[in-house]
Amino acid sequence: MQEPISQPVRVVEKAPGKVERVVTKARELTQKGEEWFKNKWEKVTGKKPTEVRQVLKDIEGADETVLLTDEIEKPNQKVEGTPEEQIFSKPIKSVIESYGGVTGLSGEGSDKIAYNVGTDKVALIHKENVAPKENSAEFYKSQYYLHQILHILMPDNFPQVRMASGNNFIIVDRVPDTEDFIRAKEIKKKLIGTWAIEDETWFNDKTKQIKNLDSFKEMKSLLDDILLPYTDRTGDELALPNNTVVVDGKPISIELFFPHNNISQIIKEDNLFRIISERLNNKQITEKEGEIIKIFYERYKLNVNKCLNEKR
Amino acid sequence: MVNQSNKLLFQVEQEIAKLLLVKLEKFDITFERASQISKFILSHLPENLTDEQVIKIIPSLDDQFLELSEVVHKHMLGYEEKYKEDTIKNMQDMIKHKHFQEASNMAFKYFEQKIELK
Repeated sequence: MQEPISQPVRVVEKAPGKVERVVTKARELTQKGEEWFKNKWEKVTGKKPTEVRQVLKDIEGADETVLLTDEIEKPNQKVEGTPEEQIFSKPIKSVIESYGGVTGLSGEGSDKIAYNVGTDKVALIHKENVAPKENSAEFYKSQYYLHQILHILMPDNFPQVRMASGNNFIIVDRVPDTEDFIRAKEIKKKLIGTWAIEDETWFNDKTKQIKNLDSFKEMKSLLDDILLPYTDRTGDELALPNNTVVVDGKPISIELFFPHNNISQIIKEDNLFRIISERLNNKQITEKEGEIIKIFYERYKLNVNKCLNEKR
Repeated sequence: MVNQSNKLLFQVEQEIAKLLLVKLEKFDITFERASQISKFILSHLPENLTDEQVIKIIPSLDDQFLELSEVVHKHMLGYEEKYKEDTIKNMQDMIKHKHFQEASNMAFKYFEQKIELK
């Protein structure tokens, strides 16, 4: 009877000082072991039943003492992915990797956490569910199509959402970290009552400046027109310097809008179609873009109906 | 070469051998366990079994070795795909011609096999 192979064990050793050392104890294939596997794979992928059967016989009689080394220690073995990447599920991790992997923490709010991905993307994770059926695929598909429509109508002001999936996960084009944006994020980390007067004044002034920008007014007007009702009636929330980043004088919203059956934040069809006609007449969008918006709207409708009609 | 009558046997053996090699290479399974599984497969699936005989044996393969459940599950789904449409069509014809007992027997046979394949 052969001895069973012990499974690789991760042992955390407390090394002198404050650094913890991770040691992995595991066995590895010997030279003979590697040759053995190579030979078996060649046989098993062939078309001869006798050879496949022989592989089973070889596995039955394999001698692990020849094929495997003794246990060896591997200190500080690289753990796959960064700590941030380790929280993502496998499929999401592969999407993130396809965009260049996590390159750092972008920011963290009370309900969301954002990681920089590659050179120009951000992965946003909702910490908690934000609306009924919010963790459903339909919810995220609705949000995706809504943002695609906003992006086509105002590409400079609404970044493109590249992917929105269940499990509270979204990938969006990254907005540059301006000095104002970095400062606004730092201020917002503190509780409002604890802000320094200088910070509070700066924050309020920035909000006013953003609200006064013409293109911000256009953004606000578009949201008021197509969303029923857009709850931020005054625009105070959208204009906060941590929600809208001004790059070369252009406001870019980093807010994410989502269908919600409590506040009915859904697209008003008549208004959307009117806006499409107006933009086509003014040559602000092409015929093709108009058609794409209509297709996206149909897909939005299909998903939003599914997601809002189902009760929690 | 594979002949038509024991095509399924070859396919199942190949899938199991690949599964064991992958698990061994990743250290997901011990050589002792893989040896036990191989021995079991070689004795329960003797050479020259027909496809019909293999179909009957497949459901029992993961009773003792849970590691084989993915192979069993794959063939269970394959069975459902292959026979579902044919069974429904045949049953509809039988009901149309008022052969209710035959239709019932056919449904029973289909579900019985499905349960076995669980």
